[in-house]
Amino acid sequence: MVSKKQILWLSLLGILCLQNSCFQSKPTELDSSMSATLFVVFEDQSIPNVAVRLRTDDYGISSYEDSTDLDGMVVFVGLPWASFQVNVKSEVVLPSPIDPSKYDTLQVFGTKIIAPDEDGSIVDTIRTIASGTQPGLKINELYTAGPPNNFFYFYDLYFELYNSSNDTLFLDGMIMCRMGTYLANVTYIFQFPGEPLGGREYPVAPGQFIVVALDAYDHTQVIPASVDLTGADFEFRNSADYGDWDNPDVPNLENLKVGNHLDFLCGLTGDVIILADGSDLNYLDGVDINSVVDCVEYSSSATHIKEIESSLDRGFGGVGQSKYSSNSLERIAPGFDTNNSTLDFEIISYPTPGYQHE
Amino acid sequence: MNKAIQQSPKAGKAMQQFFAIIACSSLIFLGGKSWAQETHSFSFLNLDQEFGKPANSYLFSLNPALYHLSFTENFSYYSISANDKLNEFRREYDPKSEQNYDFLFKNYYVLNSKASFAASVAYQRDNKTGMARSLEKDFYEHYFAFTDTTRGDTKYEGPQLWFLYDRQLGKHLGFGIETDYKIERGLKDVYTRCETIVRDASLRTGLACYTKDHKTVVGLYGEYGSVQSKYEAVKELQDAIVKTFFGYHVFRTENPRSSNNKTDYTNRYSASAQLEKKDLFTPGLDLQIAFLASGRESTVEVGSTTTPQDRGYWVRNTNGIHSALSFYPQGKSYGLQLSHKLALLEDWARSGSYDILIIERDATSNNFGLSFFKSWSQKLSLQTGVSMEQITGNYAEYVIPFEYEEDRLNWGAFVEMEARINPILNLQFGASFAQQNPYFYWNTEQFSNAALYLGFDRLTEWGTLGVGLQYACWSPKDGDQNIQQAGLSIFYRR
Repeated sequence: MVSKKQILWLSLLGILCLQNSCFQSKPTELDSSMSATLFVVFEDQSIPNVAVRLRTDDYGISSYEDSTDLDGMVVFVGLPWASFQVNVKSEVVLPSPIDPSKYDTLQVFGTKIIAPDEDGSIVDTIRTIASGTQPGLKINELYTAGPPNNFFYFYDLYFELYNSSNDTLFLDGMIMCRMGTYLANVTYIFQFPGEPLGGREYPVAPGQFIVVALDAYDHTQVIPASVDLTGADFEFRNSADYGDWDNPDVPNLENLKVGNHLDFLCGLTGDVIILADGSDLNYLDGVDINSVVDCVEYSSSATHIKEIESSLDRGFGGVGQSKYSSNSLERIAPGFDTNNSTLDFEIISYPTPGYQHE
Repeated sequence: MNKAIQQSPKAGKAMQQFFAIIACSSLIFLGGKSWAQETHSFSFLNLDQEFGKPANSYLFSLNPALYHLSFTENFSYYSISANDKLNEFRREYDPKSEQNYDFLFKNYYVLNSKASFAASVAYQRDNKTGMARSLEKDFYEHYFAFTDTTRGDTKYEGPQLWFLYDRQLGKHLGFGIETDYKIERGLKDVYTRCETIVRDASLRTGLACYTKDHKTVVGLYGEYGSVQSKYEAVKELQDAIVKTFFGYHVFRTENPRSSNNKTDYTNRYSASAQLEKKDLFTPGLDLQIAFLASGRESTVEVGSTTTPQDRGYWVRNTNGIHSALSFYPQGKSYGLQLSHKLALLEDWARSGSYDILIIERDATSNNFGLSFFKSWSQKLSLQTGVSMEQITGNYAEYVIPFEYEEDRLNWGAFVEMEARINPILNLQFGASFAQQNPYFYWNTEQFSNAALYLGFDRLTEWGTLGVGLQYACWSPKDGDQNIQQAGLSIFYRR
């Protein structure tokens, strides 16, 4: 015979069992147990004594920094479980490939996104490239977010170009486009002055920055926290937009698209911008992919679905960028280009027209 | 207010047994108030509770099947209360001041000898003024709290409906069902103009077995609750910049959007068993014991409404035993109660992205209370008591390691008096004092809390009308700033 007391205790036991079965199981692994073993190489050679920095957007925590050992290896332990962007930016001295008795000093850069696997460990190789790899004209900075204001002022936008090659390049007849989805869809197309491909009137020296402003105007007169773009090298101009500011001292990129009455306006925190050599001006069927010199896609949303072909830009930069914040998007080093804007660009707190941020 | 108590011949012997139990128990248990913001709840403010009497079966156990055993006559009351709290001393995400307004109407009908029905309608409005960045009503109650960048005023308001029905299924078996439904809407008056909507629904069903004389009662109840909380912070010229906290130290800055949303989905389960024995060894000696096992799980999502991202999952398990031994001998004008609460709390939280533990808390609370009641010729009644609580535990955050070893001791004492000026007019006075070791986020070692209550009630031809004033002050051990609260309550009962 079961007593009342026994029934009571059995009921309690049942309640406790029921309580634990209702919920998901408790993880056994504690956070801050992630480790990352990274090998830093340049042209398949390990690089010793190079600073490696890990940064994450998953938590508002400061970055982790350490240096590679003599084998080019660096080990981070006790990291929180998160996705990290690895940045390597250093000066290395290597034997010259021409005269092994001499040494060359190179600026090398490397970047990669790493995430923990199931057991919380990462082993990866960071392949660095030297400054000047994949040289050419690059879209180096995109300032589109606008300054802090409460009347929707974003007309201080500009794009900064950079010549990362060792040769003087020419902007004559090149085009800048704001793209819709894919290369077949051109929203705006503006052209630099001069003859495409053969023109020699608008040179860009090696290592030179070029500022292409929406309006080459001193925007600090409107908003003190904005930028003075009177010294811009070029400005966008649409003669069909009667209100468009035109600085007579600055050469113009003219609108090519028939029926477009707007200036080169683009998304404050999300869009696709391309720079092309101007050999394909028939925008109705899009832009010839072979004519594209550089392409950047940006979006403030981490869940953004890519719009442009991956062969032009495998990622997108600007995640976390805020409208009307003076934030700007700039390459991590002048002309640094791996064809992945997620890695190539970083958000800087203030625009830097004509120079590279520190 | 207090009925005459008849003399018991066994009272003397029972008193000896009672004090022996107290003496043994005092060596084992400590108790008191758990949280620094709590103060003694004066019994005059609890309109379900008769002054100087121990908690009845329902109030002790919260088993709806015991309602008709606890309340035998119809009643209804209206209550309005207003409180103003000035938080000179406050935590980082607390408001500067708070104003709370509550309205409650409650009605109870004994339908027949076997069934009864109770219902209440409440409306609450809470204004939180000068709240720094928190989009939560109480930032510190959440492990995944949501914040923005501005200081503003937020108003919360909404209705609450409560129903209870209980029925005797036989001479020795009762059944009860109780449901509670609450909606609350909050709105912040500055950017990000966050709108909060909370829907809280719960259903509790209980069974009780009792002897014919109701001196032995065994009860069980189960409860399920569902809470959904939605937060929407919207842009104003600038995108909505919000942060999600993981514990109290680590946060994530969410992607700026025109609208940033957070949703908490919470399920609560609880079960309880109760045992009550009246006239245990002698008339007037009652024992009440309640076992409680409860758990809640919350899933937190943040992002846009179309593509929310999992930010975390957390579970809180609470198990406990609440026991009370009361001795109110028949025919005597005094009574004693010894109570003990043991609570075991376990919290843990998992990351939204990985199967990894990010927060953990274990705590054990032992709360011991002793109260004494005395009445003089029914003209003056006095109730006084002490309580002590020992809380030990451990709180740990693992993202960026943080650990807090909890070992806190709180104690308090109170005195309440009711004077019958004439057959229709009663005056009430209450005072309490407590010292509390608050949780680490208060950033002070100790609070001293003093509270006063002054009120009266008057019998009119329509019912009883009562008014009460309350004042409470919390003073931290270090620093000049404190927390003050003043309140006014008015009730009408018939």
